[in-house]
Amino acid sequence: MGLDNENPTLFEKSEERTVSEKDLDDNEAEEFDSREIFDLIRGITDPEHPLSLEELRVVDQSLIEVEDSINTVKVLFTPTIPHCSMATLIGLSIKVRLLWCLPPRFKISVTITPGTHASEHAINKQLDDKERVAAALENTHLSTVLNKCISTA
Amino acid sequence: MTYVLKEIVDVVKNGNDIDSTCELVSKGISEKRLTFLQFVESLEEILTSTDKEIRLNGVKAFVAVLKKLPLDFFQPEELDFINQFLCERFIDHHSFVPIVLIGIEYTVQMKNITKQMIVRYFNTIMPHFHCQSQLQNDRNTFYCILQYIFLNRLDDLRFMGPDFLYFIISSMDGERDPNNLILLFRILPQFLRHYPLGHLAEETFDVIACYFPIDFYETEESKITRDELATSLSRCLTCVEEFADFCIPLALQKLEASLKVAKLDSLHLLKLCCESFDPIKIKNHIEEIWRILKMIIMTDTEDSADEIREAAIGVLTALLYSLTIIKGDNEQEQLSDFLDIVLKSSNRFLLDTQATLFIPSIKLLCSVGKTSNYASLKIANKVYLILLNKSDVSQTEIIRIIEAMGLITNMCIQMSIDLSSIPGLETRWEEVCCYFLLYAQNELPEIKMSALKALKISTKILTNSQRTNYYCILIKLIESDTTDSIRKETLSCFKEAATYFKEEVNREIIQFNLNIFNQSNDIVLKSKWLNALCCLGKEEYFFTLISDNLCANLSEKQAETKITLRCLRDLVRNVENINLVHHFALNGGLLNFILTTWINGIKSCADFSIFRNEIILEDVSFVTNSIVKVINNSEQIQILNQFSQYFNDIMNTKINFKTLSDTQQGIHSYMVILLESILNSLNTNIKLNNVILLIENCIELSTYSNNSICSLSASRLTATLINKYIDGDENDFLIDNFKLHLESCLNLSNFNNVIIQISWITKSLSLKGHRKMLQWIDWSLSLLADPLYGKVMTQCFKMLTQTDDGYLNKECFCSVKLLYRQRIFCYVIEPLISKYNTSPESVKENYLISILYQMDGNTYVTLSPYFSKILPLLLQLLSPEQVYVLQSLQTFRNLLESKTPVLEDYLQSFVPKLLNLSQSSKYMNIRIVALQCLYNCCDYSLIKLLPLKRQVISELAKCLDDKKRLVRKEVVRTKSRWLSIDVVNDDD
Repeated sequence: MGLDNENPTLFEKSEERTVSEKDLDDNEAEEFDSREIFDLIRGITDPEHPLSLEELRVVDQSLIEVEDSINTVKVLFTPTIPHCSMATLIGLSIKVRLLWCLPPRFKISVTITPGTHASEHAINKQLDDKERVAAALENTHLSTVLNKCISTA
Repeated sequence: MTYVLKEIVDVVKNGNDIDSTCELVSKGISEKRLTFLQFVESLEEILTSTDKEIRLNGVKAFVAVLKKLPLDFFQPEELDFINQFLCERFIDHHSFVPIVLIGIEYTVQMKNITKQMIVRYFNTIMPHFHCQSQLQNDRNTFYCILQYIFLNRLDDLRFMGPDFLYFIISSMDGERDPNNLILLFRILPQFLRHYPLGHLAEETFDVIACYFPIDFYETEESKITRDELATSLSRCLTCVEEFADFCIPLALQKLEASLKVAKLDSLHLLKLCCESFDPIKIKNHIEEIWRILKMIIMTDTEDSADEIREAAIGVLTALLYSLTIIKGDNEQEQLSDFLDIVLKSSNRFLLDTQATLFIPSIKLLCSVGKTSNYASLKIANKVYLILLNKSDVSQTEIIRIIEAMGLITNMCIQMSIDLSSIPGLETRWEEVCCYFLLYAQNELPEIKMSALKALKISTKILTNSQRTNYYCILIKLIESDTTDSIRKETLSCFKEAATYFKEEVNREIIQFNLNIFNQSNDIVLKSKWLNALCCLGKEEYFFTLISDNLCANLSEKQAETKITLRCLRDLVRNVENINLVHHFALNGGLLNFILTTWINGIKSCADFSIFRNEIILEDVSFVTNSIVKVINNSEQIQILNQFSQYFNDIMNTKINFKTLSDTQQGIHSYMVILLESILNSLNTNIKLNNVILLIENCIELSTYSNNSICSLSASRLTATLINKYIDGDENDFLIDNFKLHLESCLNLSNFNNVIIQISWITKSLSLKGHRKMLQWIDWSLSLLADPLYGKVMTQCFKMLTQTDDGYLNKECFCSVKLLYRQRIFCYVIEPLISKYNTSPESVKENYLISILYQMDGNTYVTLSPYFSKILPLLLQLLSPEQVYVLQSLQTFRNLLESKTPVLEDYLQSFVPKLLNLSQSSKYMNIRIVALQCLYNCCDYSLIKLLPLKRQVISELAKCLDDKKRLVRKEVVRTKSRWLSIDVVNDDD
């Protein structure tokens, strides 16, 4: 069937975030934190398998940096194998999901964890290019695949 | 009679009304008043006419008369003439074919038809008949002839050899009508099985195979389904051995298609192949079959592939069964070869336990193993050894290893294989369960959990010493503080062990610990053991033990009583324990104990913390009620007779609450709770004496009792009794009396009690559709306007739409009319709305709350006629200044969730309001519910949503920066849904 990685390793899913009393208090405010960003992207489906990025440990909470005060979000993701041809697509789906679900004040950067992919530099550049991201969303075939991946998040 | 024959010439010439005249003729012939010969002779002029229309009418009349005669009417000699005549007419003119076919269809079924005649028919038909150029009906007639021939006269035609076969396949080649096809698919196997196919086998197969996989869209009118067609077709394709060489490649080829139905059909066909063809033939294709099956079973990426996977496993099982029956020089050789292939290809998945395909391949092997003892032995040997030999494993791996071994053990137990008989495991088989036992004591809850699951499966095969060990582990786990899920798993292990080893469990776990915990003061420990005991409620062996232990812990100390009652509550609620509940109801059983203890306790004013504690009394009442509910009539009567003497004061003497002493007031108030628990679920055919007096007393108690649960019990008992026992016109005055009495009580200081009593009675009357119900509802409506009582009265309108699990329902033998809720709704909604619009501010909200309660309790179908009146009210409420905005939003959300159609037209009015609420409300709950409403809007049709999409998305983007995280979560969910409303799916 021509899969890049036919038999990937599975990891445990983390528990749902528990709701604290503070969360229910109308007067308290909560800043964006790495867990919240992680919750936004962990449910995205891998384009190859009916598995989530969390289960394949493509995304991990420890690789997400958020600075609410200076409006930045940095996400690193790790492809399951170094020559994964889906890496760009995965990166794109993470980026699009965050663009849709975070307030516009944030600057979002999605890059590959250094040293985990053969063509890391090229993919990072591609993901950072606004024009190319916008062009990708115009492509009917690509946006169908993207919507399918994101719809489970 | 001959006049008919004279008439017939004219009738046939004109072509009108042939059928009715022919009916007269055939009646005459069968009653021997006419002969068939006379009839044919009278047609002479017509049948020899040069005008073919007239000749055609003649043949029509001939066939019509023929068809009305019995099948055994003609002698062979007569039939011979008819046969010749029809054959000649068949080649007369093409327009004669349909009617002659009908004649042939009837005559072939005749008793005296001979081989020569059938051969003559086919000799005429075969060279002159092009089936596919006929109309659908005529083709159908022809196939019906074939059906009869195939079933009864095939031997007569066998000598024709390939010619006949060729004729059959060429006449069905290209058939498109589903009705004809299904007929053909049904009759063909019979033919193909009994007719030599010779060199035409492949040709024949091709003609049938071109329909595979069936492409047929069912419509409302079509009487056949795609599945029917597909099943009969696959039966055709696999009906003779000669097809094997063509059929298996066909199935494999179509299996590669992307369409789901094609895949499923191919898998079913493949399964049929395995079941019907000689295993030797299957063997030739085995490698390829396995290659494809493996791909489907283990690596299919589609989520919806479960059905396909199941089917593929079905094929695999069929394949293995087929291989096991190959007999030869060495019986197991074929199977063994195949198993080697299977094991070899799973090997690489078995090595990495953390990989995605580890558990799927174990499951696959288990289904393979379940086909034969030989296979399961071989698989068990291989898998156990791989797993047992793993060393240096991480914690996540252990979980998966245990799960896998559990699955394999389960397979062995199902195949009744003794682990010690597995080759290579003779000395090591005990290790398997030891492995489970070891990890059941692990610190990590996940590991513990999977080990317990595996132990539950392997309970039966544990050795004596392992069991002793197992019991110790269970005891430790029962006593320890663990998570709920582990406790649940432990208890189900305990239950499983108790099913197989009753005496042992009783001796080693229960008796051993019972004495210790009975003497201890550790309340938490006690509760754990009682809980564990209660889960054995299915086993009769433990009934007395459970009952005794529960009794021993009731009524001594408050804390113990509470936990015992809690266990008891869970126990009676579980339907599994129905036999135990019956055991409780026995004379001198637990029910008896509870009732006597509490009656005495209340009457003697003993320890208030036990006998007058609200929570305890509630539990006692629940338990008693539940037990009374399940026992039969005579048992109920016995309980009632036994205990009614203790309630004499309430049941048989008029109570005047104010004149009673304080002690007496207390006793009466609390006794009514016990009385309710007994009477609540009594069957209505058990008569009570002095019901009216009892009701009056209950009203008295409910009005004056200072304790809210006593008052509630009394009101509820009143309602139950009125519902069950007050019938007929002659009792209407009673209801009026109650009303008068309650009206006079309204000015008392505890008017709350009175209003609750009114609500209960109104509900009771409404449930049974009593004549007086509307009067009471009117009264309730008018009370809403009262500034003092109105607020409490709104509860009545909530109560009217709610169903209570334990009270006033059919299980308690109350009478409940169908659609009573809708009836009340229709009656009250208009007055409520008009009163809401006209009332002063102070009482307006009473009406509003009542409307919301009523709407919540009813579905759209009921609401729809009143919707135009309700909707403005709702929309008015959807603004941030309103007090009831949250409640109305929730009602609104329920309406949207149930896809209320009428709201679709108002999307444009309320979506902006919802957007506004989700941004500007001060309260997070309101913002969340508003967003949920917006989320549910997406269920409506795309055409209505699209104009709003841009606005919704841009407004929601503003909410993304909400200060509350829970709100942000909801925004993301809603926005994603709106973004994807117009996304095209693959399936579309």
